[in-house]
Amino acid sequence: MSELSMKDRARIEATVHQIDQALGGRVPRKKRREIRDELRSNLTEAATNVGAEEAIRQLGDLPALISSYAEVYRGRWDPRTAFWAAVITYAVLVFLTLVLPHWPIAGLAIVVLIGGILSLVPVTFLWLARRIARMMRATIPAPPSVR
Amino acid sequence: VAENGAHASQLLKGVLSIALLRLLAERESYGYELVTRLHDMGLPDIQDGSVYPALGRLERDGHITSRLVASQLGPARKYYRLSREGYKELAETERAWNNLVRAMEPILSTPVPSQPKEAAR
Repeated sequence: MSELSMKDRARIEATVHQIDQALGGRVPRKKRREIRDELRSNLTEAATNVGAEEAIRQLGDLPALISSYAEVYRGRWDPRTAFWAAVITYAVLVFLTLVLPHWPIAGLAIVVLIGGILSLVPVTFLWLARRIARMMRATIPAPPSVR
Repeated sequence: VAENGAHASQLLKGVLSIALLRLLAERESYGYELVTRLHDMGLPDIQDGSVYPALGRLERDGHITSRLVASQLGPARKYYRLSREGYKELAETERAWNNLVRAMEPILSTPVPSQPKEAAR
């Protein structure tokens, strides 16, 4: 086994960073940290045996590795989707408060406050959106059956 | 040779978790060590990048547990070992594997004819 050079260490760090960045928003942060630490440890040991370049090559197809990690550690909901859903909702709510000047000030304040809270908690927003969709479906009468 | 490697790689993906469970039943081990053990046992086509997520999957499913152990060579190593569920899973998959091998053996052991028989009319 040989001591790793700064260049080898930098290569390993770059690979670990590349994988970690690709997992951003797809894998919970705690798991990402665990993956990072484990990859760094395994790559360091592999590099002392076969060199950093070969150790990284032996990882195989990096996009496939990233997909496998994402598949294994994905949570109940994709944080990226919920994040964008929350951002769009918040933007819509802010827009409504601006274009509806006849609303009382208190009403506007409540809408902005609720929008802010919901956008901070995307899961709450998704739950609310599902409830509203269900309510709307319930209020729309079913089309007459065709005979 | 490359094509043989690709076929072997596809087959190995299916049996990788059995091999990992079997190796971890023998002794506690970490990712890179498991890769080298698999290579030494005659499976050189297995890539590190398929073993590490497979270990994550086994841990997620409760078949193995892990702990960090300090290493003199560098960052701490993540050692894995079989859980009680893992031993059950290993017994079941070994049984399934042996049944599959028994079923495939007669199919693959007969010589391949130069021409397939034509269907009777």
